[in-house]
Amino acid sequence: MMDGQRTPFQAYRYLLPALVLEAGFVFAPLALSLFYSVHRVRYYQLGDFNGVQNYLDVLSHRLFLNSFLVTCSFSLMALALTFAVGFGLALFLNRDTSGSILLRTIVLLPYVIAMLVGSMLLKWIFSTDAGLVPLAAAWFNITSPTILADPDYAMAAMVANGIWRDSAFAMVMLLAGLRSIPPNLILAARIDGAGSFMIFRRIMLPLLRPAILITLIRLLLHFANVLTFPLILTGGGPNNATETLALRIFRIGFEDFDLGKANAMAIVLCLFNIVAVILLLAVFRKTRGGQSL
Amino acid sequence: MRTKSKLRLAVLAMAGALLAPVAALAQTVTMWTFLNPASETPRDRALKQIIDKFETANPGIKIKVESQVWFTLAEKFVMAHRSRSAPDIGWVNGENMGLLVNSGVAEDLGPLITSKWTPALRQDLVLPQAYEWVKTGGKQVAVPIMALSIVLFYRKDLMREVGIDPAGIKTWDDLAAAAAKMQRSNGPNVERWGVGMHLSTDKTTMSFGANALAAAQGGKLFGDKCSALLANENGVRALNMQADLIRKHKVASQESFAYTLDDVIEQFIAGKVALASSGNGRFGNVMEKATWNGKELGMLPWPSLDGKKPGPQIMSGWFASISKDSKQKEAAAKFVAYMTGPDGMEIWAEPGGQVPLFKSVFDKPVFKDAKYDPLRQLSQMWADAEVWLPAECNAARTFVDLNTATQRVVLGNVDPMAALREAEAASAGRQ
Amino acid sequence: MIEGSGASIEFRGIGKRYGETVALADLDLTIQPGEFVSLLGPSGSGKTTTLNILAGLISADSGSIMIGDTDVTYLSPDRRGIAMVFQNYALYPHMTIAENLAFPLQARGRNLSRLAIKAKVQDVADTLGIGHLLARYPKEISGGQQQRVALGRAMVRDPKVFLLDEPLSNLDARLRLKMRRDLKALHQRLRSTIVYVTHDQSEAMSLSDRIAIYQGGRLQQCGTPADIYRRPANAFVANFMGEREMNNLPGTVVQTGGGVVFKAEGLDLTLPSTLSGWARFHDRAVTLGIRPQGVQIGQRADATQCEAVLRLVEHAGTEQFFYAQAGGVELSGAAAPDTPLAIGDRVSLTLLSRELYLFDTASGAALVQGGDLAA
Repeated sequence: MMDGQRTPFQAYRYLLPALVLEAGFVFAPLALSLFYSVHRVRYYQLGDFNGVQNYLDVLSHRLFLNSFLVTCSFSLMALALTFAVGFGLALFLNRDTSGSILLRTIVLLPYVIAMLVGSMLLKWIFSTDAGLVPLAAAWFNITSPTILADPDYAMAAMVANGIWRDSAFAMVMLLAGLRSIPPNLILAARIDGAGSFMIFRRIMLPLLRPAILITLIRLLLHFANVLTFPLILTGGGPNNATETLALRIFRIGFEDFDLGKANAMAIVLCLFNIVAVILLLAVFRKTRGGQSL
Repeated sequence: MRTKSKLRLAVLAMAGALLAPVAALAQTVTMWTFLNPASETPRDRALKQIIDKFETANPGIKIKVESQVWFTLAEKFVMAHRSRSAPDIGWVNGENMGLLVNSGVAEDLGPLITSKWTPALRQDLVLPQAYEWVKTGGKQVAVPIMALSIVLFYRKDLMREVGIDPAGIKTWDDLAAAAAKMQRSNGPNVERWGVGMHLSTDKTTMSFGANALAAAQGGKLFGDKCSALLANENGVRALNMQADLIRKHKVASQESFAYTLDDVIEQFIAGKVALASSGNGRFGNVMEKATWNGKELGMLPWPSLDGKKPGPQIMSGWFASISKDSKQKEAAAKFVAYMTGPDGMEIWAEPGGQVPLFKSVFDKPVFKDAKYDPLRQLSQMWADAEVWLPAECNAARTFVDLNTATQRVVLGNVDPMAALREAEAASAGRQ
Repeated sequence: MIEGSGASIEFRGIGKRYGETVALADLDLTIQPGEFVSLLGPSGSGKTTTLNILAGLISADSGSIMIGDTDVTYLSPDRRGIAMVFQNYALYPHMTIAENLAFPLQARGRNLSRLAIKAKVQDVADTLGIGHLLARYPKEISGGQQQRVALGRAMVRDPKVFLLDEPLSNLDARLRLKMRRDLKALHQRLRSTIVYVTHDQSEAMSLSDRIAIYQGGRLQQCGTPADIYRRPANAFVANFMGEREMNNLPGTVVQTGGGVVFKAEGLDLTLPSTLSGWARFHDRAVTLGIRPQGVQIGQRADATQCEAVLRLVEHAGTEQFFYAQAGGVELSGAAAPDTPLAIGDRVSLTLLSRELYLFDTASGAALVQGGDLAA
């Protein structure tokens, strides 16, 4: 009787620290952001309530659609390629040879150095006058394009930055997933006569579903919101070809000093994230074999 | 041994007791600046000398310097007012003056400083407009400490090599021609570009096009209420001039669209571009670091579209403002007046290496030395073409709008007038 | 109906080392078609290594393996015509039972129609009594049912050879007994060759046609259960077989005036005249072995006798086990369940001659097996 009454209270007591953190670091900023997004906030000074005006201004801006599409195409390309490279690496490094341990360390390097430093490094590598890429191109007698000054190449460079940095993350997550597959299942499948491809498709892939889903969601959220790549590597250019929603938020907030609109846009980006994750889950559910995930 | 240390302790304690009232009496004025008096650069040393001399002359006032990162200094100063943690004095750079003017956190320095000036001192100003510039609604929100402008750097050696007299470069076409002569290629690879331009949409400042446009509009880029004046015939000419340097004359890399001011100056230092613009403050730095003979560094007055008058020196600089929350405005004002007055300016000039903002300072015999010639030339260029863009307008972002327009014209094949209209609209939407 | 006929298996000089450790030393073993052979031994004895080499999951350092007429030494697992049941069943958790059973049939190169696969799966499932579980997932069925599915997945391809790796060890005791019976029945029906790895001697005894018993990477003996039990090649085999450990009495054989005597620590056992042949072992250190069943209470003519004091009694349902102190040694023995036994009682013990074994202490080699001199 006593226990029955105490249990809910105790449950909440154990949840409390997590709830406090969640409230402090998620709900409070979100609420503040919502509050600012419906006010005029210029030059860091809180002004009058102005309803949905910030939202209308932000959404009707000439460059909004551009940055929305840039964010979508960057996220999708970076997501697909980073995941593919990470998966490839995970499969390749799933063997404990001494070489693979060294390689694993090398692959992890871009992930552990600061994002800012990494992007600055790549900017240097891509630059025509001092860069390694044009130098390499010159060796092969290719007249290298001005990578960061060409809209398409700049986007490719930004995607490359994503792959370079975050494949390691995908690799670690998927490697953990691979390691959790009981080796006996693979042996059993081999004895059952399955070839490598059948084992991969029928055994490994389905058993990796949770790891794959988590990796995809984490990567998607990361790419949809990443600021460092466009801010440092491409500056959003050229011709706004790499200006993502996150970079626009940064610019409206900290270069135009309009925090009201910046917050309105941040809320829009937040909704974009939610929709993106829901879409991803929907796609995943459709391909689900039957086991609960 | 033991007695000796006891004695020492007692002496220390007594000294402490004696000094305590003095320390309590002294007012401590806090100042945020990007300089660090403990460091060794010319400007850091100058600030230290100014503070030392001031404190000696005013034993009741202590200046406590809190160093900040330069590019967020103005923002932090304004934001600190929301949490009531602002320092007494804050340095603000010209690019962010709009922030200070629009936020209304600065004390009026008129009654505290400028209205106390003698008529003679008023006549002595090198840049009288600078003081007017930071007045809003009759209030003096800041006073200049040091002035800067974006100047055009060139290399005397390269000019000599191709036989061009720098003084003959009056128009942008002249400049394009000179740049073409100084450009060096090896097959398809350009080893040295004629000019370096910073046309990225990242943190940036005045481009060649912006300068040309301002020149054609009599030094104006903004109309009433900070409406940008871009979409007109002059704008189209300026924009085409800038775009042509890349697409027609091919004297600037297309990668200019990814370069910031810092990128360009690094390349100038490395000898990869023959002409580049930069803040004049980097003159000494470029001279010192150049991979070529630094003594060959020169400054060129800006060309213009018609060649009649040099293009404007778009002025900026560092300003001191006093927080309206300060509890000791008098003491703070006293220091600011000293730091920005004739005595302070002498120190900013030597060892600081800055153009002193009072004419009388330069008249002193000590400044007749040839090593001050670049400063003298600068001060002459400013006198000829000083332009202050309205502080309350977000000029930095308008420069970006112009860069975006250039990118759209070159990369997006957009009609220049259409691109300028977009830029004008973007600028307007921001005010 | 499931059709099946086994293939023979032949190991020729198979060896496997891991660094300094010998996992398997020079194994020669021939298994007849349709034979049920258990590989028995403690962990690390080499039995699982034998199985994995046979399956092709690991490769041998030396020697060759024949399955039927084919040398499979270098063939991949799927081309050896074998099926394997793992200790933890290795069912694919994301597939239904039907999908698990169908998996081997869908493998490359089998080219079976959807319908044929379905029929085959149903057939196997019905044989094993799991036809009603086809739509479920492995985690939704019991351990015993999982075990059947694992067997089914092995059977579905009609392999010539089944490899079973401790398939019953994850089941509880009663279920294990039932599954033993079912396995035996299945084998009798399929007549495939079955290689069965276990560390449980009673499992091996009850299931196998022959038992191969391993220790330290070496095959110790291979023979029928009765053979292994009655004629152990050495002390290790003798001790490993049987529910309880043998009594082991180190000592010597001495020829005295009164006959042949086995002298253990503080205990002289005068052997009956039928065992006078033991005199030939008088010059070496030997160990007398006797299973508890051979140590009985009471006196009997023409058997070895001794006096002892009861120290401990265990009741085990169908019989009682006791421990008694005789001289310097402790002997364990068995008695009928209703024999009154009290701790501290002085009793006379009889050591049945047909239960006596004698081993060379140094080599462990059997000298006497079940009272008879070893061949």
